[in-house]
Amino acid sequence: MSAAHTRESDRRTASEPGAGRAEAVLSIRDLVVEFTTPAGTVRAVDSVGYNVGRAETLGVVGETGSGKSVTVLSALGLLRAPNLRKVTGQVLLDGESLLDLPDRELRRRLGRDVAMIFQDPISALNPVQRVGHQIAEGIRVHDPGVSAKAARARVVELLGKVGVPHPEARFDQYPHQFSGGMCQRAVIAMAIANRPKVLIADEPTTALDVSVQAQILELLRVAADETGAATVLITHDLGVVAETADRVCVMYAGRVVETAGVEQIFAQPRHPYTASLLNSLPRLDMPAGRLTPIPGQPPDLVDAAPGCAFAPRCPIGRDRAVCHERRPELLPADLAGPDGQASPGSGPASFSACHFPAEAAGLVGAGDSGSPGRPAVTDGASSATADDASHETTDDAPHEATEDASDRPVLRITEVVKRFPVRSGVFARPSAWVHAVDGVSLRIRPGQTLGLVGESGCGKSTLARLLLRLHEASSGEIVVDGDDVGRAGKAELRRIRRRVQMVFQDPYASLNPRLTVGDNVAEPLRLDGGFSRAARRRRVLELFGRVGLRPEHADRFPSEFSGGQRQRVAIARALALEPRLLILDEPVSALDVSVQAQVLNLLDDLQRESGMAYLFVSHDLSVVRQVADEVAVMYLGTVVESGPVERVYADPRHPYTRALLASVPVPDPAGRDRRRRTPLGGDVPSPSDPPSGCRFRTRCPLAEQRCADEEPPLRPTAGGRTACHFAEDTHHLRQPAVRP
Amino acid sequence: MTEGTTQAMTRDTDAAASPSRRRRFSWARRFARSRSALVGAAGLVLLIMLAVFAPWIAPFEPNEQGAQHLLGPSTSHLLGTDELGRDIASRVIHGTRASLVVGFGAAAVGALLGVPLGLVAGYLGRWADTIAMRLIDLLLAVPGILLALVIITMLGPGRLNLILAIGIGAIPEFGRLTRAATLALRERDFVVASRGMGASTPDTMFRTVLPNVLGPIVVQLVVTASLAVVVEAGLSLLGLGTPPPAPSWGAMLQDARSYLYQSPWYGVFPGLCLALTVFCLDRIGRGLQLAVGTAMTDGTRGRTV
Repeated sequence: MSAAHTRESDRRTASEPGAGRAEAVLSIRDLVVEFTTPAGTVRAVDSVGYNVGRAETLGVVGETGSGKSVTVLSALGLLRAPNLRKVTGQVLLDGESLLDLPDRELRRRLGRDVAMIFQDPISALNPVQRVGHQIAEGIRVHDPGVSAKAARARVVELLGKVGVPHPEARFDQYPHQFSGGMCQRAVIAMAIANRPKVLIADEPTTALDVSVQAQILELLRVAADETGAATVLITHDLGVVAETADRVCVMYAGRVVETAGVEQIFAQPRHPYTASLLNSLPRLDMPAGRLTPIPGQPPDLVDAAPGCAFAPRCPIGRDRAVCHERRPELLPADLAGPDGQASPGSGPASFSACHFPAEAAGLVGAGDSGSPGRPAVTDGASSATADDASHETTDDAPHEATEDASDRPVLRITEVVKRFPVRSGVFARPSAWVHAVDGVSLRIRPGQTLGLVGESGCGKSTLARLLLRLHEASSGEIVVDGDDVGRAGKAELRRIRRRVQMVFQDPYASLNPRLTVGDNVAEPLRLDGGFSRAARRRRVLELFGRVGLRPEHADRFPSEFSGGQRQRVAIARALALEPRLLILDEPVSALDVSVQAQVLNLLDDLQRESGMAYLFVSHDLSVVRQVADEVAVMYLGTVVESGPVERVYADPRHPYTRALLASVPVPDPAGRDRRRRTPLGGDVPSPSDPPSGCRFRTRCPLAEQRCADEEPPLRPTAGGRTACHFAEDTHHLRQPAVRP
Repeated sequence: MTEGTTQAMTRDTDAAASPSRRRRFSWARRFARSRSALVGAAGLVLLIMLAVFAPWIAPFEPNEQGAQHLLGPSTSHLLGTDELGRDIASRVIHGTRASLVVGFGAAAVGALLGVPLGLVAGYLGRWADTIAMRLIDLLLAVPGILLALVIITMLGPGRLNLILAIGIGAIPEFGRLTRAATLALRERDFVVASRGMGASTPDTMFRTVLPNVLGPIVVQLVVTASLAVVVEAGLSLLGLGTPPPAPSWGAMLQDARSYLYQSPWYGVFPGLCLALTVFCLDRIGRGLQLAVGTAMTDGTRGRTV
């Protein structure tokens, strides 16, 4: 309580720009960072400035290449790229200018006062040194007076504080014995060991699963309160910012476009970019309407145009002359809101780099109210009720499918199992089996989207690959459009594969770099053999039109395109042979929010035009809710809950589904103190040695003896299916913040 | 304002149009940035011209025994004559043919046999990998020059046999290189995607994987060619290379050895040409290596070249 109070008062002092600077622990002013690239000089950071006060958390948000990480890294002299051209400006750490310090002095100061938490915790730890020793080393370097024994005691205490179970035993373990979440905890312990003045967290939860992310975010809050450090939290995730930051600084194209208190940023953004970002975000706490993406792409930083960098994509710019001619400065924008409800006294100051800050606030929610809920969703909901009956009746005989020609599923998989051997010993005999997919049954009807959600390692991607027999299923039946994939011969399998296409997660890796994008798209046509060169070319251009690519781009190579464009190319390639089923394996996970919305809308349009069925695999619950008609939630190789999207999100019956939904950071800071919680403790158990009975029981708040003895079947519950013995009485568990 | 926007737009389209060209010739561009690689390339072009146009460039027939034997350099015989009165300059020029043909021929034989072997081993894995790699181990167990000697002894001397003998010794290098590159690519998304699109295994292997491993193979081709030139000379020196009276630098060095006291300049030019060829090929190889990707070499070496 008191910690929250201090933060409140700090926030208020930071609100006066003049006074705030004196109070600030870390203050960056007019920072300019330039790189030399073959294309020319890139100004990655362009006169950026912000202050972070004691015990304050500043969230720095921006898309890839916005300069959010480069700013803080170069300010602290941590950036050592060989093509770094210049770093100018002023950086004050506790009133002392850092950029003028000699290297040695700088290092000493940074080691004492600044701590970093990186995105990838596993590579942040030295793999050949015991975890405890690494943390102890940090303590003893800065305070040589500490004895080894005292250091050990302190490290054990720290490990306990960051939530590492059995810290005494964990002290002597190596990083590979820690899970990803545990590694991040150890890194945080290391970071707070010397009570730093500034804590920098660079995408600290991006590499982690949702349930672990919630734990780590909670921990970061505790760490910041504990040490009173000024925290800079760099992230691309608006949800994470809303859950943790006190103030937010939005960056675009190397500049700060808006900075304000967290409540204000989300409720009344003063920059159209901020507002557009919020609109393009699929979120659980809003009805699933069509997204409003930001058109176009972030600008090239080589040779920036003189005006506002956001002008070409701006929804309020309307091509006004001033936007193209004069670059807007970051100025106070504490104007009355459109509804006249100004709150100048209560919140921190708001600064916006827009010529028309008052117009930006009106953008939020405009997309929502303007367009009604997606028709597909209502269809799904209505057909779901009809579906309940069929679920109930066919349940006793899952193999007996109602094979109406129109309703014949595009994909039907029954009790599919995939085990990978873990080989060891001289003769490489399998000594254990990893049960990646363990008895999964699913079906997808034409024109429908099945969302497959789960955390990393739950087997969802393996399952997707089994469908095309890119892995060989250990047992079970996979029927695609009436053809048994498992029993198909070589030629038959190739034919099946042409009717089912796949889009991969990483658009940088899924296109052949030696072919032009046009030839990449033409690959399936060439393999099919029924197209002449001219016909292929015509079809490629037509496909380019459908996915929103310019035809003249067909002769370029993939390396010339951005991630979003490449994903469009990959989608065009998948569409080439008019497949009946499209397998989308995390298709938007590698994309920025604004581009993600473009791709999601494109997929939606394509489905409506062609009636393709989608299997949409993702770890992101908000995205799946946006696109799916039906959802299946996977945990450790099995489906724990499935059903129509409305049922699973609004009335989840499995404790795991409920916990997952409650873990998703909500991009709305209002009332976050009430939401603060870590619904799931611990980590996912190893799939090579899954728990007996119900696999979720080791982390489940409801687990009883029965759960260990008896594996709960996936049974019809409330219009969907849930694999839990207590599916009927999970209501008292915390309700997720999903709004239907 | 309109001026500003149109300016911005034209810049936009310019920037959009040029990368295509840049991408397609990026190899050449990066290659050209290294001066020593350019020198090497120029040298090689010169040597190839010499080889192709030898009959027109050379002042005499290489086997014409018109002059006094063992003459020193003079205006009529630029590099002097050999023990049979043949013009050394003409023989050196014609010898370029033997060296280059054998050098590149052997490299081509090695690549033609080694690359598919490595591709199959790396892509199919399992027993195919085991068999291919043991085969390569077998070849590696015998030193290259010994292997070449044995093959020549078996097949008899001659240019074609020489190419085969040296080429077979080069198989392991190509095989292992290709296998390693293939292994790295095998599970990459675009290769999996090719399989997922319904491509047959040979199609995926040769149309998707092969073009993506060609970079390092081209480098290896040049490196092997330079080695083969030396081996050819070595075998000729032993009398197992290009059979007389055809001119070859190695054979000329061998002959010159017997007359070292009478005419020391006899062996100088064949030796110099040999060194020059190897130097050029080496420079090209290094330049290509840098152009193909820094993954092949560490950055520090890259900067000193």
